[in-house]
Amino acid sequence: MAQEKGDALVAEETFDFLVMIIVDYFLHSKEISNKASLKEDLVTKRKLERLESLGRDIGRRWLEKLAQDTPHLSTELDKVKFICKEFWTATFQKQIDNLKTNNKGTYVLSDKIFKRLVHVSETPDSVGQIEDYMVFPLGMIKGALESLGMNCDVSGDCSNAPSCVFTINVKEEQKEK
Amino acid sequence: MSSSTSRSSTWNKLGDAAYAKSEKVSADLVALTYGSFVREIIKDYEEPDQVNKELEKLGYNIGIRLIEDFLAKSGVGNCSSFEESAEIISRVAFKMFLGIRATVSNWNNEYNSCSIIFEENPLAEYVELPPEYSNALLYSNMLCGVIRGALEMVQIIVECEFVKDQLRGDDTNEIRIRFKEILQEQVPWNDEE
Repeated sequence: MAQEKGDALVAEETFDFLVMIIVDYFLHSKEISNKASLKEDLVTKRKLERLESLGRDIGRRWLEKLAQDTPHLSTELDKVKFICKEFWTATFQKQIDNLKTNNKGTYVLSDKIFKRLVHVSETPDSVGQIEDYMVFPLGMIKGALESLGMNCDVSGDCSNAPSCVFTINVKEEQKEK
Repeated sequence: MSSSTSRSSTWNKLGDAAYAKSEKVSADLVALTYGSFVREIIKDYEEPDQVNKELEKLGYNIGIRLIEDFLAKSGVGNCSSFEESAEIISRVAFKMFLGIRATVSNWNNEYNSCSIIFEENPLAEYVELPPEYSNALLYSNMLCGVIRGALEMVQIIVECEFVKDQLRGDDTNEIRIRFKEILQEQVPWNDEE
């Protein structure tokens, strides 16, 4: 039976390996850093920015796809809930476990098992720091929020990986009155 | 013939089982991510030949890590011969990781070179190559590297090459695999004694 375009599924390992190699490419590849004749700290900053911006771009386009049949989300909270449920499920195979907000533009999302880190935290020989592997998903989350019209700072605390806590801060000019 | 048919069906079943029990993500997300990544590599290397080489190298780095996961989850045991490995790649590994089944064909007379053929390519969904790249870029060349890297970890040295690509207007996707040698098992150096 032929599958409808867009319904096809692949193993999550495939996505994890792809993301792992993307992180390697931007952060650990020697050739890329040798190409730029910049100071070491600038090179590192530039590499992180590129990785984050790739994540943002993908997150933005991925959310457009996910939300195309969704009615307009009017409130900030509805948008964040969409991220916690639909976006999280489609990207990380589960919903956010807990959402808290101060109702002033700060949202704290807890994920007890952040799927994109399971592979990395179980592989002792993974190259680089676990923080390196957060840059790309954080970019994706930021891009997804942007796609919903929310300009935010997003940070992630993965010191108890694979359990992660994400904090979304809506930028001042965006806050709802 | 009948024993090879029954082995084929065993491998098909292993592939289906491994795929069924894995957690899944949308193939669209993978295609979108792969495409955006290829675009970044093109920015860095520009020349299609260089891009192809880089994609292959990145795939190799995936392959050498992926093999452990594959052997642990697929239940295929060990890949002992080149011929068997080609079948396992197409019937088990393609199914397990990409959700598609490939076929092995076009064996040469010496049985040291064959093709892996697949109609659907989840990496290339929704892709159209710009004209300046359509003849030279091997968009999915990462797959060649994955195969080479994974086989090297089971001591089988091969060369892989994309010979047909639907993105370039071919009727199917075809990766040619040429067997080079089997590495002798190294006796591990035991520095604790």
